[in-house]
Amino acid sequence: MVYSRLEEWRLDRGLSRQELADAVSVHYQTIGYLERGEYSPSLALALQITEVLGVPLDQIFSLTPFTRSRKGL
Amino acid sequence: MPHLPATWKERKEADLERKVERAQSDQRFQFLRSRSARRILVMVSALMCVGIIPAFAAGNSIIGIIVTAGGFATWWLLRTSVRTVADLPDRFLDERQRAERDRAYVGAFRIYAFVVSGLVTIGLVGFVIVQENDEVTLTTTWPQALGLAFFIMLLATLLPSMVLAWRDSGEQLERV
Repeated sequence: MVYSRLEEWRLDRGLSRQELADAVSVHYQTIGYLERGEYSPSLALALQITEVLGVPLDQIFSLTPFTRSRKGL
Repeated sequence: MPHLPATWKERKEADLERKVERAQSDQRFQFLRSRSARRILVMVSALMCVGIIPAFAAGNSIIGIIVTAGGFATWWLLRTSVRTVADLPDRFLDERQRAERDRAYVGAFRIYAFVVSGLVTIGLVGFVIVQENDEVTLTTTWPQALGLAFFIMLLATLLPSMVLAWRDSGEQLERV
């Protein structure tokens, strides 16, 4: 299982699901699945997302649960 | 000036792309895409499939044809519910959709193999029970044979979308 802080970072960047989905060429529902942790992205998709959001990979996806919110860091 | 599709193949491809785009971005049938709606559709589809055999076996082909038409109507609703993901080639799907479609086909194959081999086993057991000197005389009517054929065809057609719809957690409405 891959834990995700995608929604937090996406909202921080002012992007809708549709806009992020268009930027990484996936269906907007796939962004929802990623945000809910119901789907683990491929490395290629994860890297595309980090590029669009301008955030390091480990700030968005993790193999262990995120303990604090990004703003608390 | 935009490139206009010239050949028949190009026009067909452009038409397919438009249909896929419409199915993937459709919001009119969102009520079919919740978890509960999808599961209800799967159960109705299963009932339609199973109902075909007794509908034809009753001896009235009209009822059988109505149930078969209902089965294909349910198939359309199921396809709409899962955005035709089970029927699209790789190039129209993203990686999650491809993974879900592939898993659905594995599940559908297992169910189909179980049902068909189960029917064959029941037939063989029945043969052993009723046989006399290794001979059995089978009598069937045209509607009964038609019912069995439609059942097998409809099951094969419906199963991938049924498995996909049953497993999916349901769509969330918001795009934002």
